[in-house]
Amino acid sequence: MQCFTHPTIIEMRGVGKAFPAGSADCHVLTDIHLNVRQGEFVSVAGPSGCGKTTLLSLMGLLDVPTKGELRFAGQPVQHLGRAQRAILRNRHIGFVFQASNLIEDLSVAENVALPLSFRKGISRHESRRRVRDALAGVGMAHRMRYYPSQLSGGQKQRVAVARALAGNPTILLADEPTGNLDLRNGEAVMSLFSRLHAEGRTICMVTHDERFGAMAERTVRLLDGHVVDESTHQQRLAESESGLDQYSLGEPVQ
Amino acid sequence: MKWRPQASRDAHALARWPAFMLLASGTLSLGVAAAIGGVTLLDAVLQPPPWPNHERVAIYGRRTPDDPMRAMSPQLYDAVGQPAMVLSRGIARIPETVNVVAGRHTEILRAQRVDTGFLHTLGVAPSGTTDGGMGHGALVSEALRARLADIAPQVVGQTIVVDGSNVEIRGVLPAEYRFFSDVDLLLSLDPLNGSTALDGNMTAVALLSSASDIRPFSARVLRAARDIGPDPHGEDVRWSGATPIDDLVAYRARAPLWGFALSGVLVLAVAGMNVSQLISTRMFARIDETAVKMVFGARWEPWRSAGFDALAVGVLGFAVGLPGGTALVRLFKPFIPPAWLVSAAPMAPGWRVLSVVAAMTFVVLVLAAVIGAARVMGRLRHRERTMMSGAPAMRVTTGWTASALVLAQVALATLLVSYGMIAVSRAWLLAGTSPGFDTADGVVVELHPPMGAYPELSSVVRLADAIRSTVSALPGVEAVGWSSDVPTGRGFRMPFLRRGGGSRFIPFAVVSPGGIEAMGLRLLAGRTVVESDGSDAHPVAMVNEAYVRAFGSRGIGGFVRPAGRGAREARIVGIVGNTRRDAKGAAAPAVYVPLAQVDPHVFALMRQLQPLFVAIRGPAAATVASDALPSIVGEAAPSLALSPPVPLERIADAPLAGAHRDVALFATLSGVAVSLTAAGQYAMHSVEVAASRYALSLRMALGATPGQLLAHVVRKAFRVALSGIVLGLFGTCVMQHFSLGMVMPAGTAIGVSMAAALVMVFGTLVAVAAPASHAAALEPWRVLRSD
Repeated sequence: MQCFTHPTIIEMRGVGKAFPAGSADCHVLTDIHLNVRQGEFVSVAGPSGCGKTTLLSLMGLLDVPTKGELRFAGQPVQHLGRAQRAILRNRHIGFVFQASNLIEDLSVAENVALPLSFRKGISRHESRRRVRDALAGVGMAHRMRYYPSQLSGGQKQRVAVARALAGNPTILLADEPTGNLDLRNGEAVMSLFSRLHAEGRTICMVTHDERFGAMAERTVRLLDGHVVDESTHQQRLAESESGLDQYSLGEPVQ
Repeated sequence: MKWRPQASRDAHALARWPAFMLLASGTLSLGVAAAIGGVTLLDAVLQPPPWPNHERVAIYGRRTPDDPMRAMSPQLYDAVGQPAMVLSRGIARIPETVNVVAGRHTEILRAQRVDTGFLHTLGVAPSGTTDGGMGHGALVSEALRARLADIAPQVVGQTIVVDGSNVEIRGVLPAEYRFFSDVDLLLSLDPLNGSTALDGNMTAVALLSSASDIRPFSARVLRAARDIGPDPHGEDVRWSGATPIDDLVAYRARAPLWGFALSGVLVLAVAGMNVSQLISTRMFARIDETAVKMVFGARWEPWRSAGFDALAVGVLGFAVGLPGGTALVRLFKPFIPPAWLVSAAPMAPGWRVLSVVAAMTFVVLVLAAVIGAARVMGRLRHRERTMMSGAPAMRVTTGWTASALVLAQVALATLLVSYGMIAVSRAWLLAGTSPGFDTADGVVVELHPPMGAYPELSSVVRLADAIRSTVSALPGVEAVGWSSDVPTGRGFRMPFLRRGGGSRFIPFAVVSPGGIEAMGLRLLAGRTVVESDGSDAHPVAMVNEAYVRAFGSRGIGGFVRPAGRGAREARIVGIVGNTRRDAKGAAAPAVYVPLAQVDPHVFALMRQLQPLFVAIRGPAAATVASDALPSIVGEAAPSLALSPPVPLERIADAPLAGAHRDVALFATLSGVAVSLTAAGQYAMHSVEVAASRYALSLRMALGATPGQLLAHVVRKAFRVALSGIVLGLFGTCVMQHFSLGMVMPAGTAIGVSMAAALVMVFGTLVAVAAPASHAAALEPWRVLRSD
């Protein structure tokens, strides 16, 4: 169910992103109009090279659009400096990457505490409490003193989710979170995402795995840098039943 | 020829990294320069002495327990004779000061009198001689020949006037000739008659039929010394014997010069480690490109790339380091004591030094390339392993060896900077202290009344009186007098008895009336030397404040008592202020005796060892010394040479020369050390940032601001640097505790430590600025995607 009454967290109006490539620019995203509202679980799907990850980098304030308007929680962000974007990112955005990206020299607890260490005004006691809670939330509290090398792939990804949640972000952005996992661990991570969404978290996930993408309540499909389709879970169910899902394999059916 | 296009591509790739080339070759050039400097100094000692027969030449005579150099007396020389094991022998006096007139040119020079067998024994063949010897003529050094050639192109055969006697130049000594000290000419030594005070302090050499004859020859010398009986100077005859001349050449220099050379090689090694770090930095930055090439079959890519980098850095570093090393040798040469030098030839890095340093540089670069390539290979393997498990490498810690190396470098640099600061503070304090005499409107001129023309003390006194009375009558002259030393001099030392027993060697000078006033010494009590202090008057002396304290004297009315049999005591009639005589700034006791009352034997020894000085004070002193004095002296003593006038201001600055040398030496050393340390720190943190850019990007993705990443890198750098600084300051404290090296002036410990720490902190900040900025400028999304 779309939450039209909920405030918009990410608002894109005619957003474009181009990278310099020799004398000409390479346009990766063109004229993107997209809203992500509070409490939504949105998946971004599309074939390789269509601009999914670039879109997520703009949503995560890791990069700025070269065209259009990008607002985060109502605030225009494309003119913010790197430091200001980093502060916004730290306070409001949680990241989960395809690879867990845990720092090997830090323990599980230290990895989870990492985003909190960049935030001013959080006491050590408060940080420890949040780390404990975040790890408990993903079922990894008993591995706090472990190092990443002592964990399985699925466990690492759960710790990565805990790290993303420790700062109590407004939105959770996930880039192919199941990409490096086997089916069982992938399903476990996705059920974790479903639970988080059910608890009211806003999630935006990039995936090209249709099974997992279908777990989101809204799916945005990209092709060659354009949004070509936007459908809700119910619409997809209906389309699936009538056999109209043209883009299920990422390529139009001829 | 596949390597040509590849080399061309590598060269182009390298050209895109000008900062790397600049830093790596600059670092290496510092190491090469230091190594060339150190090894050149060592080579100057290790090279064979400039006497062809040196392997079979022995110096024989008496010696003291603490000095291996032997002295010979005419009696012992005769007593030893020429046994069968000695092929030839010769004897020389210690060098003396002489007046030389060549054409219209008059100069004070250093000369040494040698007998006919001396050069033959050493195997030295002068050029230009017809019979290979000097006869009753003179042999000139190559340096003097060059000077005299300006007057007359054909030097050999010319007649010069030496101390009033005509002497023909019979030949020119080899350019590298040097017998323990530099002399301008060799004069013939008349048959030994023991007539001068120097004759007990001669040097005898013997050419042995084989080097193994040294023991029996030494035993023979000892027997002869015992036969003669107790030494008149009180030296123990048990130390008489013979020593191979090679053992005496620059023996004092060997330990410090080995130290210099070792330091130079260490600097090269440290530079090599820095180059290794820099090569690693460049390779880490190109690791993706390398990985792709390896996937397509270029198995040896890391080794080839590191090898090419090392080759390019080596060529450029050596090319820059070579003139740097030559400049370093030129910089340090004036600070090398003359006693350390073996040869008179100019000290310069020869082919032997260059070969050794080139070989060492090659080894260092090979190691640097191997270590750099191995680190990148290790990183690639680690990445390959972690890629297999789906996680990029996220290890961010620096290798402990690199940290330990930088820590040691920082500690060493802190130690050297501390000593640099000590040198600066000493020079500063010394420059702030009064020289102890009035330097304004005063000049001194050096002269040397020759023994032949002025054999008696009374004749020198008459000459001094005549010149003094004429000069003092000139307008603008307030005082004029003679002295055997300048106020800051340390030239002649005599033993004086202490009040509580024992004796001590202290500066001793003779002064004519007006000498104390002309030199500007401050009279604190009593009177100065006056006309009535003649040879038949009661002996008097003046002392300085330090003498009164050190010798427990009661001052005016007390006595100075020279050590030695038959020495006359003198009543103290005046006390003058202390003068600054050395770089330590501590006042030394000094005694001044009227020229007319000095012991004639002592004076004879003094005047052969050192010149005398005429001091003139007054508004016209400089003009009188340069214009009027030469004609006045020319009329009174035509063969007497005068040195150019030297202002007393320059005399007062002479003791600061040591302090200035220390400042220059430690400024250079600490500058090199700080530069290398900064390069080492830069290299290590660049490697770390390059190797952990993924982890740094992740931090930024998780909300770290660029400022926080910058602080993260700087904090890590300072963790190592501060440990090194503390270690270096601790090392300085330990060395000060055991009085090693320069002693820190009292009350400057905190200032010196703070200043040294600040220099190192600043150096660290400069070194880490670039890597920290790179870390702060990382674009997280690009890095996270590319890895």
